[in-house]
Amino acid sequence: MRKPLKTQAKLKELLTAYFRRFEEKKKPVAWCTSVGPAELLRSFGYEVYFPENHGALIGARRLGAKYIPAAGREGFSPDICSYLTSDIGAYLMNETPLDIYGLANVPAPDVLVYNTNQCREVKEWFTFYGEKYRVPVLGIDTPRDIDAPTPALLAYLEASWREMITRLEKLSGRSFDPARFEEVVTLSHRACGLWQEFLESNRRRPAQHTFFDHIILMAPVVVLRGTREAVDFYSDLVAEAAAVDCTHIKEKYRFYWEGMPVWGKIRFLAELFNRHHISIVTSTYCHSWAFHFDPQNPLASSVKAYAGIFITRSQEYKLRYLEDVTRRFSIDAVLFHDSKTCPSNTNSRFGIPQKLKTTTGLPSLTFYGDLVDLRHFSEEEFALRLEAFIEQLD
Amino acid sequence: MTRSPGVIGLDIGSSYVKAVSLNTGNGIAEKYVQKTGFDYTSAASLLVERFRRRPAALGVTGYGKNRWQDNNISAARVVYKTEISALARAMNHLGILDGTLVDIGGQDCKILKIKNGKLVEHALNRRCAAGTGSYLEFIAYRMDMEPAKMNEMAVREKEYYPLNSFCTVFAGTEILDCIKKNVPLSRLVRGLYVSIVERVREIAGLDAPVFLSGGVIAYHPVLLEIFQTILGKEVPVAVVPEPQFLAALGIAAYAKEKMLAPNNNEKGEDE
Ligand code: SF4
Repeated sequence: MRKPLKTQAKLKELLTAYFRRFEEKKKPVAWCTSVGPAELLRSFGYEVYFPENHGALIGARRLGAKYIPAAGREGFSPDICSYLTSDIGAYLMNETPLDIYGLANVPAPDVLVYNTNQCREVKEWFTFYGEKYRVPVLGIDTPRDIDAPTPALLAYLEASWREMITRLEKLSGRSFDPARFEEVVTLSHRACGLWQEFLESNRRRPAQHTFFDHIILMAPVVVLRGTREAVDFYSDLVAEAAAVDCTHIKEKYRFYWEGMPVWGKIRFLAELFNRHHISIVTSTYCHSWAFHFDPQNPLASSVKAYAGIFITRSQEYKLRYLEDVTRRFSIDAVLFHDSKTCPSNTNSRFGIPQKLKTTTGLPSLTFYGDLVDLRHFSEEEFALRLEAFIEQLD
Repeated sequence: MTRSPGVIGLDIGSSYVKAVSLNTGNGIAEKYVQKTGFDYTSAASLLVERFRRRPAALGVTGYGKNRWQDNNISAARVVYKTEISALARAMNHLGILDGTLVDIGGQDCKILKIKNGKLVEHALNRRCAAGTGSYLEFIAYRMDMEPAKMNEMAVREKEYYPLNSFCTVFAGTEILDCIKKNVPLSRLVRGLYVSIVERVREIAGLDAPVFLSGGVIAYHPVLLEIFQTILGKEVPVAVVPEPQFLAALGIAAYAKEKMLAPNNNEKGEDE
């Protein structure tokens, strides 16, 4: 089995420092969606907290089944996003897995900021907290299923961003600081670029790291993008990855992961694939934070970057994207995670696996599971499906 | 009693354990089946004991395959494969080189597409067990009726009452509701079989010719007629010989091949 990269050991310290800053209460707190305008919020001096990261932590600690029913009693169906239901459930039960970082509660927000580029669920989620904490909820309502962001769409979105800037100025009592924004966007751009470089290093055979490393290593590009710490972390990671020797790894097949992680089953899945000598080389999910900003045009490029992410695009675009990425990484087969509670990150329901097979010849396996709600995932069933799939590939 | 060696294929399913031995012509010499129960390890061992010949080579497939081993036989003579591979192999063994196999078992339904003797695609039922053997067992229990009786009733009835519920438990309730509304029982029973066929058709397209296997077909042969009616004349449908033992036959064929492989230096003879 591959050894974890040494840089990974720095994560705990980095994340503890990040969460500790909320305790110090030196700065106001903004909650932000994972692909929301984090750079803008940082430029206004907010400490930025991401509820989806909290959901993932709940998932990884396998606490979903404990919290989801509590949200159900409040009227949130267990069929909707289990990040949302488990996070709200934990709030209602006054618990948090952030205790591992020394936090007794999640940091209370001063403002909640979402972008519907990923899904509409985030709007409902933030609205719930807006009412509970009695703080304003600001949002960018990005339309979904777009082929490409057109000039008209970008103009509309830029207007939304500008409106948000005006509201943040009022709320924070500061005026927008273009120089500071440019600085934050530049740092984000660098962290995202390094993250992409790291992911792309896996085009080599055998793969040096796998999806199961990536979903751990991606934490800083989600919660700390726009900071110097994230840039430093990924610089180290890229340097280390370039020097790692993995020639001893037996790699029978190279798989692509499409869809959400199953947070509570990382170890089970990593070991299972390892036993079969399969490397999950890369994924759509982890590539989603490889944003390209233009530091010379921080606002326009932010608007464009956040409007153009995979999840917000049309089926046609997604198919072309998958054709390209699977070719680039010399993929042998694709795994589609049909995630019960996240239709937005499930791409097997409108015929993409079949179309991809026609255009590239790539076989695929669709499996049923969920990001947090483990009641939708069966180890037995998964292992059987995988084994049968491998026998067919052999 | 000393037993001469033979090749045995064992299919440890979630509801039943099935086993066959091969004769010299590679046909089925003996076959046994028994309920899996809670302890499929001992169920499987007991079944192997029943064969007149002790196993010189063993193929193991099915849900319980990874957790069972026979300490009396060396690992070199045992082959483990999934049911998918075992079923595909059995089709080859029977000389069926093209078509779609629908295998309905206790808790799952598998569809295999075979072209020129090769497995080209397979699909399994989604998540829940509605439309499989457990579904029928549950409804039979709710209606207090033997499987043979259900089959007989559906054979005689030509009309059916469509059942809408995806969930096995709700389907049971739906049936009881219908009985209260005086829908003839035979139409409900036929409707139940129709809903199984419809669920199968949802999993994947069924290219002609279609073959049926699995325990459900063995105990509910009316499904053949219902498949044929729904798929129409252009798609010939047939039940494979010994439908409940198809995976066991396939895995036995694998075991025999492994025993005869030139690099396997352990002979399949009595020491
Ligand atoms: S994209 Fe999916 S997992 Fe993420 S917030 Fe939306 S529904 Fe939840």
